[in-house]
This record gives sequence, C-alpha cells and structure tokens, in this order.
Amino acid sequence: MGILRLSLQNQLPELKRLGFALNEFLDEEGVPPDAVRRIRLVIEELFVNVINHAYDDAGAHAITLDVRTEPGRATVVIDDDGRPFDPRTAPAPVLEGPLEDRQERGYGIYIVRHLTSDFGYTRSNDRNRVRAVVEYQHPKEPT
Amino acid sequence: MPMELIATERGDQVSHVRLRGSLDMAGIREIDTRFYAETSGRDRPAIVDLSELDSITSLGIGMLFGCAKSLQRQGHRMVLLQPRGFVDDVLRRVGVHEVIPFAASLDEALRLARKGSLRI
Repeated sequence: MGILRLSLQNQLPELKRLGFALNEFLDEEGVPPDAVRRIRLVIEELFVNVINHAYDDAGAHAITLDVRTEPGRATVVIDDDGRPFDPRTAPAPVLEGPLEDRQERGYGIYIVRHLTSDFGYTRSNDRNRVRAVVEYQHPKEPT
Repeated sequence: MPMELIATERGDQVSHVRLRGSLDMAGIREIDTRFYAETSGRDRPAIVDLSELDSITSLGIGMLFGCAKSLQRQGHRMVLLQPRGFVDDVLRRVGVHEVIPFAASLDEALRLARKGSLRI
C-alpha cells in the first residue's frame, strides 16, 4: 500500500506537476496502465472542477490531494475550501438527440461516476471533501 | 507523452488529422487552435484519427463536439477513425458515437465523410 499526498494551488498549471507526481507514484505502485488512465482522468476531472467552480475570488487557495493504493483499488480524496458543492448532485448531461443539441461541457462528473465504484462527499470545517474509488485488476505477484 | 497533431493533406477534399497522446487539458492547450484550423477551418469534411490517442477528458470531448457542430453548420461531417480501448469506452459512454460516426478503417472513414457532406 502506498500514499501520495500533494498540496496544490488552485491554478490550472498545477496539472502538470500533478501529472508527473501521479505517473511516478502509480508506476512505483505497479498500477496497470489502463487503471492509471482511469485514475488520472478521475483526478483531472475533479481537480479542474474545483478550480473552475469552487471559488468566488481570484486569490490563492490550497487544494489537497491524497491517493491511496491497495491491491486492486485506488482511493482518491480531494479537499478544498471552496463554496459547498456536492458533485454527486451535478445534473446529468443530455446523452441523446441530434448533434446540434449536444452540450460541449458538463460531462466530467458523469465520467467520474462511470469510472468509480464509490463516489462520496462530505462537508466539514468549511471544506469540501470528495472521495472516489477506482477498482482494477491487480497484477498477480510473480511466484 | 506530449500531445501531437499530425495533419495529412489527402488531396481528395477531405481533411485528415491524427491525434497522438492524451487529450487532457494540457494536451488541448497544445493543439486546439491548430485542430480547429485543420478541420472546421478548412470548409470540408474531416477525418480525425484517434488510433494513437491514449486518453481523453471531458474537455477533449467538448472539443470534438464543438468541431463536429461547426462542420455540420458548413454542411460537412466529421468522422472519428479507430478510437481504441479506453478512449473508445469514454466516447461511447457519453454517446459520441450516436452523432459522430466511428470508422474502423480509412476507406470506411472516407466513405462516411463524403456521404455526410452536402457539398462534395
């Protein structure tokens, strides 16, 4: 089991640092490539969602990210001090109809729900805490 | 892997671009201006080859929808060529395949692109 803990600023360029740190951590933890893609996508969608929607001011805010790996699963926790928002209440995108009616935004949380086996939210001490679990086939240890 | 866009001029009135890497926020920032210029900016049907695309986020999906809609307004169609694995799964999950055709081969993509165009 391993734990990655990062403190990130509410700025999109932080995605680059986040990406490097995640790749290195998940590689060291032996997480399969397909699972890495899913974990990275879940984290990017949640992180971008916080940056784009959580804050009313342009000031600096700290967003903390914890990734905990266990055999066959990764648990992601993102904690921010933005306005209260439970992402599980985000409206589902419209997935039918002609091309001209399809929205160009609003798929992120829907994708996160699809990729995770558990998706939770709590609000305490004026902070949002989102928890997402990605399960995957863990490679067997060599015998 | 850095995001790459490779444009191939096919000389047959169909734009053809290949995307390689991860179409996440960083990747989109690298290629979006050129992507629109090489597709909806050319006033002709477009084939977007996704066979080497490793990952895609909701912003990437929005980029594809935006471009396909722009082409449709011009009377043209976008075709997605060979999305694979994880990318194929994410695109189908949000119903992209229902409004932007997927092609398994370049021949099929060309046929679909021409068929959908009102102006070729």
